Amino acid sequence: MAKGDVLVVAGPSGSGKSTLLRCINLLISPDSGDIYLDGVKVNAPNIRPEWVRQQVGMVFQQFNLFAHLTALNNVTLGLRRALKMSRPEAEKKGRELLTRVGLGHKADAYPAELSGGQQQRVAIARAVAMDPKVVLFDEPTSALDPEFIKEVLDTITQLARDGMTMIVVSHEMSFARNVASRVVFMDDGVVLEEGTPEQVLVHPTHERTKTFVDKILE
Amino acid sequence: MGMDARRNRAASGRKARIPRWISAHPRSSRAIFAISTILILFGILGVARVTGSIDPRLWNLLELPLVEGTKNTMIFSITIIPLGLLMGFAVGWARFSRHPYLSWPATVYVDFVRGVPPLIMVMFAFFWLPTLFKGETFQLGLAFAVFALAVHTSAYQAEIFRAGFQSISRGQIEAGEAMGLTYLQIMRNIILPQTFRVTLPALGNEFALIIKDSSLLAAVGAAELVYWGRNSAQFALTNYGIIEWVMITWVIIALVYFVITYLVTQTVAAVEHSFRVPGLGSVAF
Amino acid sequence: MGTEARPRQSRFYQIWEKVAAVAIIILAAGGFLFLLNYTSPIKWDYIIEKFPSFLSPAALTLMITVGSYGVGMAIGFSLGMLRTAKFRPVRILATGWVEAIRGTPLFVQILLLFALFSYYNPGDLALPTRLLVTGFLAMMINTGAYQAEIFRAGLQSVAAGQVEAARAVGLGYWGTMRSVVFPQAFRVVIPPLTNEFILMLKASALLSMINVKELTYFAKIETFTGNLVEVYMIVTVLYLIMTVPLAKIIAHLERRYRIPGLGMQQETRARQTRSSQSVTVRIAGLDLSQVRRGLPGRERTFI
Repeated sequence: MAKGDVLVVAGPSGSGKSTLLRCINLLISPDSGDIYLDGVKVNAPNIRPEWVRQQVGMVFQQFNLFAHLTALNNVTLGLRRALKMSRPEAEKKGRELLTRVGLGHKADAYPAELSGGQQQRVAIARAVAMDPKVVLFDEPTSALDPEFIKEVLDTITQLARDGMTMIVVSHEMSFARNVASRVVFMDDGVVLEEGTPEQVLVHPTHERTKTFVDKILE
Repeated sequence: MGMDARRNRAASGRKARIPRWISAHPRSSRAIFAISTILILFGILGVARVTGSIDPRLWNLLELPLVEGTKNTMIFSITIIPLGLLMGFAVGWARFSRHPYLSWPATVYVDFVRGVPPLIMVMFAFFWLPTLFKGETFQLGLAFAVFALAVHTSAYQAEIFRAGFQSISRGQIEAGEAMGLTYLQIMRNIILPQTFRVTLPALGNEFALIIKDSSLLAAVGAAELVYWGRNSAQFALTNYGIIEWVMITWVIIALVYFVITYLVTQTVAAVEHSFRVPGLGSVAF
Repeated sequence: MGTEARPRQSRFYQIWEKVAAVAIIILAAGGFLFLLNYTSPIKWDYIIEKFPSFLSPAALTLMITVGSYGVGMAIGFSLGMLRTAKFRPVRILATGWVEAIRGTPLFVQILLLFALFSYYNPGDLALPTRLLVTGFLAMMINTGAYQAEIFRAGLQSVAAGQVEAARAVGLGYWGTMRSVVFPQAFRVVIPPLTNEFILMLKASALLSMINVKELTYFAKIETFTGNLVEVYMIVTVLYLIMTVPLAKIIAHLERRYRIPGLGMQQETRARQTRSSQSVTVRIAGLDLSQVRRGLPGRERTFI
């Protein structure tokens, strides 16, 4: 993947998409194969997984915000603890990011006081805060009520326009078509098809991809 | 001894499906009740004192329970609470562990301790443990009896802590990891703060129970409230034969317990309130 | 701990961990037995010989507990209903009573009743009967207050909306209670009620302090023969037999028959999707899906 690329991973549930993401930031160690970040092999014994994870942001399906921290503190926790940034510095950056995702006014709200869409946007700000080389999105909209999906996708799209490298597991085909530079279709832990959105989504070669895309578009 | 420690209070919020009665707990009615009882009783005592209608012999009966007894009960409770807290936290942690070599022994410990009456543990600790050491003294036995009560409460606190640990969603821990935090950082910044908030109400109840359970120490001759109460009651019956005085003694002792436990639960509730976070309830179990 | 690359845990390792767990338990028990044996050897023949004689005091313990618990349930249910009553003075009186009993130790209640009964002795009871009645009443009053709290909790756990809905369907007060409130409250109330029974059974040991001839009292008398460790071993085992199976059965029933969303038990996760579930499962150490599907994965430790 090149810098600034947006890779959308699609495929039926259980096809190993989430596992792939978790392998990339070493939440799960891969059984076989290697992962390279900036040309460095990261699943090597001499590399600290914490170091890798600081370079790789992640946004979860279930948001996974820290329930006891305000939105701002959720964003700054990693800056202060993992990157040892001072509190004022971290908070300045945190507020900037929250404003960027349109939640500057909610900095002091707790996750329980935010809607699903707002929570996910805080989670995105949290992932971006560490200035990662790549951000992973694990089905960022599938736990959301329909009315909140758009605001989250817009945020991600904005991020892509700003040149962030990212890997998005998503079933939002229109999003994939608009934003993705490449689309990967996976099933049963195997990459079946790979190419531009046009190739994979409009003219799929593989039978499984065809049926899946048809189902999604119905 | 009752289920109110294992009772749960607090919190709305959609994460934890906690029944309505908990948030509707009549704390205010409890406060009014406690305060009015205290005022009425002390009012009666005060009036009796001032008008001189109270016998000085009754004052003598009440003095030791009220002064010595209350002091010692508080000393015992203050010793047992941190001890039990430490052990309970460790055992609760072990019980939550994914490793059988930690969780299984912890489970056996909890089941065993919760299955045996605390009185049995107190008496056995008092009579037997000192025989392992040279120079069996009353003090040593008493120390072991206090320790037995700490063990007793630690089993219940272990369950509280376990429920607290379990209430933290795995996703949050994963998010912490994905952020590049180390295990200790996750523990300190994510797990412990949430466990603390979520277990506070249950722990407060447990503290109140410890205070009441410390009355068991009277069975091995520790000079706390019930011990002095029995002393005074015995004295009143044999020397004066006035049952009302015995009753007054016991009612006042009961009142002292009520006031201490009430103060503890209210303090914990206040602490909990000041640390309250929307959406974080309390553990129920 | 935690994040270093670590070899994937094999089945063998999982079994090994369990073996280690059992070994630790056995070791701890052995160490405890060694301590018990330390000053003087345990007289196993004494234990075997004397064990049957402990059974009838144990039966008395059980009978007092069951009896006072049963009557206490009637009291508790009534008090629980009164605590939810519309009429305020009734509610305040019931609340006051319950809080007063719950705020004071059972020991004090027993001793207070003991003093009262030993002075007045209503009905000129013989000493053993009088003591028994004293203990029985004290426990009954105590558990009544605690059960009142449980029943109140159970009754109030049924959401007001459901009561309204039942009224809307045309049910009267008792009809609502009988077919909507009670069936739900019942389920909610069973586990804490059983817990209360176990707590009462253990609390009955306190009756030994006023010389009711139940298990603990019998043990206290028996220790005068000098066989302290043996006597306490017997008594501990007897109490465990009476309490632990009950606790385990209830824990099992609770897990099995819990209706989702109903009960005092907290549901940990609101919504479990496949991916978050797999994470839970992975950490819980029970990873059938990965074994079955052979997906890459590694055991992780958090706590």
